Amino acid sequence: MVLAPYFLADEPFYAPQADEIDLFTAAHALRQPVMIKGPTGCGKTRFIEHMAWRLGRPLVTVACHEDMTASDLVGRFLLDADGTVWHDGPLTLAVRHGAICYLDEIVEARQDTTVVIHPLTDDRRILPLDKKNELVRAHPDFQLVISYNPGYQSVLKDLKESTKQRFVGLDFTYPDAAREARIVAREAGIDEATATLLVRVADRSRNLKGHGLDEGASTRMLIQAGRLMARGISLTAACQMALVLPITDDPDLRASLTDAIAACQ
Amino acid sequence: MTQLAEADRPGPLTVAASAGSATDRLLSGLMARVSAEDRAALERAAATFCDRFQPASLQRRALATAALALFDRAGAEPLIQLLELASELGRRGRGGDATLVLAAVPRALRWLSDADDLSAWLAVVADVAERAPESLAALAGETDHLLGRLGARGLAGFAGALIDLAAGREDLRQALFAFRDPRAETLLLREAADVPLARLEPRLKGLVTALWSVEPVIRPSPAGGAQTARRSSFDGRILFLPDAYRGVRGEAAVTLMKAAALHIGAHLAHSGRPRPAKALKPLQIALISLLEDARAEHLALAQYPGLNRLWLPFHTAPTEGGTAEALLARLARVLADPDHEDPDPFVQKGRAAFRAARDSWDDPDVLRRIGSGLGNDLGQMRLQFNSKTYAVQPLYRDDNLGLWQFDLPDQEQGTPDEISISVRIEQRETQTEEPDRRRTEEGGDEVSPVRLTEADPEAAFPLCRLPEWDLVSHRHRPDWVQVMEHPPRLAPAAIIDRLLSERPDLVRRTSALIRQARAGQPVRLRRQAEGDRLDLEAALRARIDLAGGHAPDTRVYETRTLNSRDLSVLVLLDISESTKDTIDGSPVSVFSILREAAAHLAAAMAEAGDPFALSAFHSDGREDLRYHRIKRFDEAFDTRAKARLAGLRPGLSTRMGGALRMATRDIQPMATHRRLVLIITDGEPSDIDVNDPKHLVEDARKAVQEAAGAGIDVFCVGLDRTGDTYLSRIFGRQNVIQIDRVTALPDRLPKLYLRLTR
Repeated sequence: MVLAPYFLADEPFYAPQADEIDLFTAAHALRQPVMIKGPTGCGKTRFIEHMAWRLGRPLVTVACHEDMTASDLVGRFLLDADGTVWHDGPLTLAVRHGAICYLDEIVEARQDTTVVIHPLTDDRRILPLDKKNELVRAHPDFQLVISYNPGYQSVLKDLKESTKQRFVGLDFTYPDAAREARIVAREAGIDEATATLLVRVADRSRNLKGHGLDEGASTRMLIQAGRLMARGISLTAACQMALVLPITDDPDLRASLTDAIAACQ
Repeated sequence: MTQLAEADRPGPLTVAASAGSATDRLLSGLMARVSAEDRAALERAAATFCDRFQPASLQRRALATAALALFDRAGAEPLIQLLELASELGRRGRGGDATLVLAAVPRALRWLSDADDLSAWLAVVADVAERAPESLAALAGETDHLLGRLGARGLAGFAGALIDLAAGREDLRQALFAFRDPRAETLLLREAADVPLARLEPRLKGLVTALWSVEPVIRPSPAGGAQTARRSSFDGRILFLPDAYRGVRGEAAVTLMKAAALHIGAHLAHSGRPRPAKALKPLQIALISLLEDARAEHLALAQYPGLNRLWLPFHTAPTEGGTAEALLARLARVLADPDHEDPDPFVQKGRAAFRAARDSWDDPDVLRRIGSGLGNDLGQMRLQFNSKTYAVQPLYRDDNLGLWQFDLPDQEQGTPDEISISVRIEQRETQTEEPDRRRTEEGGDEVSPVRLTEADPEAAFPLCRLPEWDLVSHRHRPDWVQVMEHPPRLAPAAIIDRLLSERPDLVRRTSALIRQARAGQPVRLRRQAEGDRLDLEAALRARIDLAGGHAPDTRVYETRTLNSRDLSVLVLLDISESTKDTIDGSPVSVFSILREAAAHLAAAMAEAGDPFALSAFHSDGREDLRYHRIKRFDEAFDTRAKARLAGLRPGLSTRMGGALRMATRDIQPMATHRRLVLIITDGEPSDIDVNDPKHLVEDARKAVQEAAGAGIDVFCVGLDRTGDTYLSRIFGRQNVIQIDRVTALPDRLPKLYLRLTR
């Protein structure tokens, strides 16, 4: 089967924050297009992977970027010795064979690109390939999921109203402190007391959001720091390396963060 | 003095000591201890000294005392320096000054420990003796005060700043050095703060915000009387921190500032609204505040245990001392440090009551009751408490005024937040006010193309004040340079039009080039002969053509390029005196070429549609930096702008740093992808009131760094063949281009501009 490489073999770890698993399962049963919003590194992609595994569906992921064209999604003719050959793009692949297609950071793509998903996201569930003169009817198992981070993108980078209104939404944030500590402890392989400390550090940086930082430290960053600590690096050094240095170039903010980290322990 | 006998040959000092007094025996004893290699130099210096002060035994006695002490501490070198300085004063007939300097040595030794510091101090004294002779006595008299607060290196910056501030006026210099002028104290405070608050402010603000999610406003404390110990203070979210804590320097100052800001942060997070102070005695207020300090810190520590590493080292109150102040400090210590034991019954009682109330800390009345009770205890012990001289201990804690609501008659200020907001609005208003005012003035100014207007120096008005970088003390001198707005001198715009029409080829070439140049967002170009990927549509068409037997279009690639120019440029012309120079063997001056080049560039930029501004600068001392705005961003390059450009006259000096700061201010509001300041200069920064050209070079370098910090690129076109070193120093090697043949400037400038903006 074409989609065989897209199945997830092992369960991706995911700690539910609320009832999002039930909500997504219901939306999937209806094959509703889903949009997932939330800050970077809070577990959006992990959640989708987990759901694909749980539902037993293949998952086709596309990381969107501003230079992406519709044919990058849909497919294109390529040249070979005998002339032109059509190659399905990732979206067409998922539509034809019935996968969950996950468009990560959809607002990064240009608006004229994103309109290709319109006929797929209403009751028609079709994908017209005008270059190939073909109308692909979506496989019954096909579902579209998009994600984006409403925080740092500018007003210029927003979804069209006509795109937005085709989706049901799930809003993600960083997990509450206790849960986040458990996640960090498990993923990084450190004890929960240390993980709790890391989460407290992260909360300090999240307080600086809008006061110099565009985003606070994400759960992903904490896991990175935790992994370093699991290898014997001190909290101060691990936070410096995994949080402070990547998150800002402003020396004053770095100093503030470093001092705040010192205060936490 | 057993070494006395070892003086193997009589040197000038010993010869001079022929009188055989006790002083002179001391001197010869000193010579005996000098090592062989130093002796020659010392003998020479001493010989000169004795030469100058032959009959004056007063100086000789002062020297003996000073020399011995100095030599014991730091060896021969500073002593030689001192002898030379004193001899020089003697040569100029200033024996009195020499005595004062010699008398200051033992006092200086109290504060300065090593030879380097002593040498630095003597260098400052020599510098003042040279540049401000009348103030030497005042400087020597204040030795203890100054060195105690500044150290030798801080003194160098301070003395230099005073001399510069006085700008050559002797009486003012004297008033400053004698601290009769209050500005001296202000400068001293600033100089004493080797870690100035301004530098720490963003960091402290970020720290408090990170920990408690309250963004504070940090301000320097209003200058208070010198006798009251300085403490931080707060009022709502506004934190007042002293510019410097006396005697605390370096890393310790950073720690103290952090401790102070975080202590107030703990109040902001845990102390709630200010409470009415009515009916409470000062001692009770002090005690309740002390308990509140402890409570806020305990609550903060529960969350951030690391803060104790910051706070605890400041609690050093010894377990002795029975005054009310001492007992308060001791109580503060036992409350903060659970491991510290203090046998005093009052302190014990305070701690027990505070701990017992732990579960009801949230009730403001509980601490109030405990505090009042403790106050009564102290009252019964008949201990005096002077609320006027009381300073909260330890040093990092605030004055507690922020905790209380005093019934002051008629508080009109509104809430602190309102105050801070209104301050911000005021600032914004003053920022925008000036351009507006200018605009209306110009609006009333009839510009006829043929009228020549003479600039009236009286009509100049101050625009703003800018800081300047002090090379010696490595910090900004605030409000140092005054920018003056002189009414523009106008000349017929036709002059510029003629310049442009004389070189139509150049205009055409540059505007064509400019339109091709690109900066900004990437855009895809299809059907290109070369490119990094296939344009599939074109490829298909080519394929179809081939299959049909036609000749295919070979442009089957696509490429990406930058389109939609998104940059703004400010061109800054240096029109100092040196631009009057003519270019080798021709009657044409550098200035006229500069003007022509600017005209061409401006015309090209106007055609390309890039937002640009054109300014020129020169200076006449730090009180008169002239910054001419020839064309502003929001104006067209029209008759009026051309008239201003035509009316420019060269002259005066080059205070580059200030001009760069003005240019940075002008271009900062532009909301473009790139902002570029392009400065064209023909010489090294200099000004009439600055002796050391390095000072202005470093200041300009700092201004470039500040611009870079604001995301503004600065590029320099140098017309001085020898300018390589200082221009590279100021702008960085990458950001300077030297043009050897000045006459080529009009040709080169637009091309250069394109290279920069590509």
